[in-house]
Amino acid sequence: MFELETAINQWRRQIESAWRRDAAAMAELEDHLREEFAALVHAGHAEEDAWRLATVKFGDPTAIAGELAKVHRLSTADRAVLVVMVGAALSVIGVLGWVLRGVDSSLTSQPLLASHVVTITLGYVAGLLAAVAAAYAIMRTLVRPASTAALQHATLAVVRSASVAASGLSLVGFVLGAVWAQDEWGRAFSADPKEIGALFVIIAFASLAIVAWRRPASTRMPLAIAACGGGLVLAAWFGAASMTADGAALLQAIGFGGLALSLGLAALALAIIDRRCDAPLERRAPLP
Amino acid sequence: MHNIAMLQKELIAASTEPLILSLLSQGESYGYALIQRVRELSGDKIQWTDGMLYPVLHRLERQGRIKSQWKMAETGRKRKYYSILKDGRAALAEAKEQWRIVDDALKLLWSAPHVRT
Repeated sequence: MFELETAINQWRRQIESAWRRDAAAMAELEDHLREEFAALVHAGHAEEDAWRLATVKFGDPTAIAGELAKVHRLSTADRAVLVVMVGAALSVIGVLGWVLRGVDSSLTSQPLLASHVVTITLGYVAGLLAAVAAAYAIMRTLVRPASTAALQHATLAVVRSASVAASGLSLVGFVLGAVWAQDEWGRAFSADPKEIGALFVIIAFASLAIVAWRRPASTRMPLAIAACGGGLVLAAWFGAASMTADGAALLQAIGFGGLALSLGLAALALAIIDRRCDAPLERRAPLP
Repeated sequence: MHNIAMLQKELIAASTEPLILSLLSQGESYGYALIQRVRELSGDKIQWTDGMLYPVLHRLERQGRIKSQWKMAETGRKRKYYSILKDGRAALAEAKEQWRIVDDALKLLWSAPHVRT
C-alpha cells in the first residue's frame, strides 16, 4: 500500500543527506512534488506510479541539493568576518585575563573569586560575541537584503553555541560569586546592580538558547534577541561596574567597553569592505 | 534534462533566466506554475528537470533580481511566490537586447540562403 507521507519523508532524507541548511527551501521543494503528484493522480495515474513519475521529473535529489548548496554557500567575506569576530573575542579574553592577573593581586590569592571573575568574563564575552555576530548579520541584511540567507544561517549557528556558553558560564560564575560572597560577607545575594545584571544576562541568553536551538524557519527573532542581549551584557557589566567605585570593576568596565567598541568597529569595517569587494554572483547557470 | 526538441544544453541554460524573468515580469508566480507555463508556451518543447529550477530561482533572489514571499495556497499549504525586482527588470531588458541581436543576425542569414559567406 502506497503511503505518500512515507515516500515524501524518504525523499526528504535523500536531499538532506547532501544539504540540510534551510527548512524553508525543503518546504518549497516538497510543495512542488506534492502538486505534481496531485496533478498526475488527477490525470488518472495510480498513486505509486504518480509518485515515481513525479520524482523522475523532479530530478536527482543529490544533484539538486548540490546546486542549492552552491547557491547558499557563505561568501568568503562573511566567513572572514565570522572568523575575525571569534578570533577577536578569544584574543580579548586572553588580554583581559592577563591584565586582571597583573593588576589585581587579590584575584590570585583568592581562587574562588578568581574562578568567579574568569567564568563570568567568559560568559559575558560569549554573550557579546553572539550579539556582535547577530548585529553584523542584521546590518548586512539592512544594507543589502539580497544574498544574506547563508550569512543569517551561519550567524544563527554562532548564536546558538554562544548563547549556551553565555547562559551556562554566567550561571556558573554567578553561583561561584554567591558562594564567595557567603564566605566573605555572610550573605550570598545582596541584590546589587552586578548581581541583578548577571541574572538578566542569564535569563536573556537562556531564553535565546531555547529559541535558537529550535531551528526556527526565520532567523529574525533569534538574531534580534541576540543583538539586544549584547546591550544587556554591556549594561550589566559596564553600567553596574561603573556604579560601584571598585577598582577591579572599573577595570572590567573599561575592558568590556573596549571589547565591544573594537568588535563593533571590526564588524563595521569588514561589512564596508565586504560590500565594496564582494563580486556579484555571475556563475554560469545550472541547467534546469 | 529531458528534451523533446533536443535543444542544446547551452541554449536551454542561457534561456532559463530570461524565461523566468519574463514570466515574473507578467506577475508573481511559483516554481511549479513557472515550469508548467514554460512547457505550455514552448508547446512541450522546453522541458526542464523540475528540481533544477529552484537553484536558479534562489540564485536570482540572491542576486537581488527577484524576491520571494510565503503565502497560503488554495491547497491549504504555504507556498513560496516569486516576484521581479527593479534589478531583475534591468537584467531582463539587457537579456532581451542580447537575444534580439542574435535573432536579427540569424534571421538575416537565413532569409538570404543563396548569399555565400
